[in-house]
Amino acid sequence: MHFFSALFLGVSMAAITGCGQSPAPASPQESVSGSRNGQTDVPTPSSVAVLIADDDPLPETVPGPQEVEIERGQRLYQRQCGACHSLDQNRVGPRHRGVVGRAAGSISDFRYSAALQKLDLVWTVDALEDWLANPSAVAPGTAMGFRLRKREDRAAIIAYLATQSIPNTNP
Amino acid sequence: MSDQDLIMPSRRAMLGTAGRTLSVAGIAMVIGGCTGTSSKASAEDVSSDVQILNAAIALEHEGIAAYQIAATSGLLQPAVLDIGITFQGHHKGHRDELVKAVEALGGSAIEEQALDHYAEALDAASLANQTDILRLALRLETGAANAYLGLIPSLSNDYHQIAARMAGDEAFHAAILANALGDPIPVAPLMFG
Repeated sequence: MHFFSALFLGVSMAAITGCGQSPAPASPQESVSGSRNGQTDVPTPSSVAVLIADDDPLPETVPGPQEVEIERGQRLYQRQCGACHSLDQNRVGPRHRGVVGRAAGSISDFRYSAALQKLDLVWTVDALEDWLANPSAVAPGTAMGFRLRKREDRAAIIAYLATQSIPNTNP
Repeated sequence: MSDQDLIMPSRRAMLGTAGRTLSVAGIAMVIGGCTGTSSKASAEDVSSDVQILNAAIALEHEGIAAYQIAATSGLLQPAVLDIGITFQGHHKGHRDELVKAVEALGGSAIEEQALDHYAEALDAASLANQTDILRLALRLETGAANAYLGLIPSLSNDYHQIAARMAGDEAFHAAILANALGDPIPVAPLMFG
């Protein structure tokens, strides 16, 4: 994405999310992308530059695309995986915090199926993608029959899990 | 939301509302039934089915325990407790059906664990009021509906329908719980799976 495209997207999102916080309409002089003389202005790079020059900072709360994807992954994780898994507790399936980069079948206090015990695999992003698409194809005989149909949902969940690392307890 | 904010219509009204939301599971049941032509399964398929059905039994064990923890918490209003016990009965019925299926395949059903194990796994100590319990139950039931729908492709055809029927029950539970919590009805279709 070009710089100005990204900047415009961010400013537009800021304008949208800021609507509820700024009830007073902008004056014509202050308006950059509003309506003048019945016509809607099309924001241009120069009008974006005016916004920046007017010292109108972007709200820090506007999430970027990566954050949006991770938040979506978190919601999906709870809905799709939450019946059997959680981040920090072994349940029907093993706990997931730190799973990206972990060796398969390596949680010492979880009782794995024989298929997982003998699986020689590290849970990379690609391996997790294959696993969520069809666990039985990765480890025939696994107890996990759940398949996640949509590639984009798998990617979002994996992106979320990748952010859930085990805290470093070393001083 | 406080406990006072909870919407607890009559059981008849709640069932009426929830009954209109089960199209996904219904479709899945039809699909499962249409494709359920039996064929001789390989030993590998049988073993895989036993493993997957046993995971479903473990899920039901946890669900039964969750409702037991809730029922004995002293945090539930009588009407909510009554519904929770009914739902727990459904999960016991699921467990029994799944155990029969595993045994029919020549397998052994996984045993339930101690209640303390489930209490820790579900972080029951953090449940402070009725709303907390209903939120947990809704999370588990929603996840269970999705879990059953998601495992259908991995099961042999003979077990598609039972998994879809379980998903239907879990979706029913989820709808009742969401209603009790005052959650809005989802706008988008295909709410599960």
